[in-house]
Amino acid sequence: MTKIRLAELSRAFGPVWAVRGVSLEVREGEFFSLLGPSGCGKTTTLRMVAGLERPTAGHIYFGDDDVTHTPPQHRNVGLVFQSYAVFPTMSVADNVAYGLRIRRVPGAEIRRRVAQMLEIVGLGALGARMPGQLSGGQLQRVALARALAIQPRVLLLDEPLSNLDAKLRVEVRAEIRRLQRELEITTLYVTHDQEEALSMSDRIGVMHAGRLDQVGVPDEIYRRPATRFVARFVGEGTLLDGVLVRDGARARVAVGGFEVPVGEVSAPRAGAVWVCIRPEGVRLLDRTAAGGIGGIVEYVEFVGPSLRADVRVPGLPRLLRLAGSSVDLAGRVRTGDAVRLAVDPAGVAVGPAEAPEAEPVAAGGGARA
Amino acid sequence: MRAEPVAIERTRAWGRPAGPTLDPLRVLEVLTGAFLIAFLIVPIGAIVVDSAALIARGGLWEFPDFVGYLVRLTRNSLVVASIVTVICVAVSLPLAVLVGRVLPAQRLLPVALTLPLLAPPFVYAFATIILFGRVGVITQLLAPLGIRMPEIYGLPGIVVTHVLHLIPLSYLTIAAGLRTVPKAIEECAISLGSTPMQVLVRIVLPYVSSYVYMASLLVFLASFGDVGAPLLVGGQYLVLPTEAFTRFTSFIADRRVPVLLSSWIVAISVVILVVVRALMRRTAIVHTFGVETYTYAQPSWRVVGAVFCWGIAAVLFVPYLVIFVSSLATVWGPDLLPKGYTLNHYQALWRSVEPLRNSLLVSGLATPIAVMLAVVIGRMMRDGGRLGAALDYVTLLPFVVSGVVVGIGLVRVYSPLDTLSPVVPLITGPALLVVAMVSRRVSYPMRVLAAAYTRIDRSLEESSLSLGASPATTFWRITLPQLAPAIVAALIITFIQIIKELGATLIVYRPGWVTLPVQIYAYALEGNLGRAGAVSMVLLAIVAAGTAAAGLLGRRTRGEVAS
Repeated sequence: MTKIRLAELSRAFGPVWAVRGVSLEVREGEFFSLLGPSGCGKTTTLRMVAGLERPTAGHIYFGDDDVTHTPPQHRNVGLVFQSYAVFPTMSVADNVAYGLRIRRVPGAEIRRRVAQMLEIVGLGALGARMPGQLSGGQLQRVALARALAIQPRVLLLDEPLSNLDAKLRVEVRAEIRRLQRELEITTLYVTHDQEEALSMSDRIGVMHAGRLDQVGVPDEIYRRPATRFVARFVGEGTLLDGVLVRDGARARVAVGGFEVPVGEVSAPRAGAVWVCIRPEGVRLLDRTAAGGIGGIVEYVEFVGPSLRADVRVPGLPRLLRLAGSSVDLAGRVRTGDAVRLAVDPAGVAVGPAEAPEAEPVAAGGGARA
Repeated sequence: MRAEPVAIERTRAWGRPAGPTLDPLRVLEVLTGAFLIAFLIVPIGAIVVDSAALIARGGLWEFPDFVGYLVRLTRNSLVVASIVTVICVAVSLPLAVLVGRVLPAQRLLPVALTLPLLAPPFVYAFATIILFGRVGVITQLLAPLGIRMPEIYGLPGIVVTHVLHLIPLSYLTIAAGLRTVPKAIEECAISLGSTPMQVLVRIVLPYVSSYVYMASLLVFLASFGDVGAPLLVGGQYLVLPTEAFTRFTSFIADRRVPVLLSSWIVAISVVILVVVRALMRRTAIVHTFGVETYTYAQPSWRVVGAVFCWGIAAVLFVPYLVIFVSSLATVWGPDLLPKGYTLNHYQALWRSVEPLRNSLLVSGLATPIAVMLAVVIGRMMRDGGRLGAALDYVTLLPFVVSGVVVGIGLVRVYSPLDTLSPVVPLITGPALLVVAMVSRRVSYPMRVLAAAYTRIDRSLEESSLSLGASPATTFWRITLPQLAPAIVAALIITFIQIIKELGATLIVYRPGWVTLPVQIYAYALEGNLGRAGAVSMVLLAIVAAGTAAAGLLGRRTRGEVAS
């Protein structure tokens, strides 16, 4: 088990900063995800950890060792790519054995270990197959087995599920997480898929324009986004700009002629703020109920177990999104219906207004993806 | 994956073997760089430096009307290359569209249309003589009809020869471009109400314009730099490469003239290359290869297309027939058919197999060297950023400039070594011929390998590195196996190109090292068309065998990729 520490890590491609001053620590045995849109610098960060990209500034530590200038072949990392990168000219078993042969592990030990790794990833019978005869999901498992066979200090995964279909993605994601827990291997996982990050990770770092916006456990990232960008990128909701007003113990955000109640915990002191109303923070009231906010349903989206609706509320510059179980909401929200809503402060995040968001940097990470 | 995991025992990671002290890849790169500098940059650079010095001293102004002479040669060369380019592109554009879009089911057509690439241009030149010469077959055929053919020796002869020889080159280039246009684009245009002709003109043509520029560039430079055809059918119509050659090889002439002409050829070729490449970059579209292409099913197009395409194919085939017949003819002309037939020409070849042996030896030595250089250069180009781009241009240089120039440069730099010791002539003789072939043709394997490198997923190599393999091990075990099909293809293509080479060979070869092309040239020059035909058939047989092998191999590797 090894912890990974990045200290003020930066990487420039010509005049463009793909990664700017990223500092973070991935704890021993932790599953840490770097989450962000394409071009945010997450892949470049991972490639620097792997040694495939040289940092322009900053340091990388594995445990207490400074590996900033260690070439990739001496870092002992397990690396899994989105494209699988299974060697097409070698059989599955030879792929898994590759790193062990490089390390001059005795033949009998290689055979034992390859069999064991293939068993673990569920490909026990396919060792003799060539990569061309495998499906995408199987190839991904070969890549994983090959990376783990060398007993790496850390495991690095770069969007490993992106080429899999939706159902397989959910399946393999659970398997990767299970394996990681069993092996207690420190893992850095790069993804643009918030569901993947939220469901798999011990902690998440959200990256934006080359910087780390927030680091936290999934619940924290979702409920208390540190920046406007994180609020917008992670989860759904209605993002509004307003002014925080305190009225004794209660805090509200005034948006136009409209007031959003906010929980005490997340509220800054006062002033210009952004506010994010999550769909689960919007409750549908009975039509006859007094109070609440009146609005007209503009759009309804049925997604199996749940139902989403966007409601136009007079005075609000954006549609208010509402979500709930499709059983509960069936028949209660239809396009064009007049509805009454209430906002629950628990489902509202708020943060101080920032300087206008910089344009995301067109960075190397995007170019490679 | 299994539900029941097998626990892995946690042992310490194995230690790594000590890294090598000398990176073999680095050594190869240094050797390759040294070769390029010694045998490409220095020779061509020497010519340019000599010329600059000459001009600085005002050296050639005592030569009567040198400027007028240079202007005339330049104009002649540009006129030939321009006419040839215009005709070739004008013919190949409809040809490529018809073959690719209207008659895709006729699988023999593309083969028939690329046949002329087998023969070197000077072989086409003497076919031109037999057909259109003063007592040529077609000249005789037309005479009773009262049609008098214009004198073939001169501009018409060169143009006819080059056009016949270079149509396939432009056809192949444009056809490759057409294969990159996805079906959906043409279907969309049709569904928006365009007629097929509008689609072709407004959508398809702009899409492939960078390929059309590429085709023009290749044809122009090939025609501009060719020395064989103008020597044989050029008559009094002098062009730059032939003048450089004749002045360099004649003993009475001033050697400063060919050097100056050579650097002038370099300058013009480089300017054209840079301009056209800029045009290509501006118009290039990022392509996805292996897309399905659209088929135009208009019946009238199919009929016209078939007539046009097969007509061209037939015209392109005539020279082969002529060469074959002449190799079996006792005397041919002034009648339509030879006076008699004989195997004498072939029997004569048995008595002197030296040119064949020399050709095979030189090509056999030069080919693997050129391909090895290409493997190393390809890797440097992919990884090397600015150095890579520079290498791209350096290796294009011998492709762009006439072979005569490459030869003159090498002899200019290395023949003074002859006087140093009795051992050295061995180096400057046959060895220099091998070196010249490598330098002259290295761009062919380079194109093949550069393309192959781009098809390799970089993450494969990165995975290997992360698994602990050194860059050299990664190259040997991961990169090279993936390049293998491309390397074999490059070997064959390079071999074919080298065994056909004439320009540089004419300058560099020494007595006793006559190659097949030189022999054909010599026979054709002395009017012994029967012998020239027989040697040509031998050369063609070798090249055809190589091409067939490359074709089979290509099909097999494509099959593997598909499966």
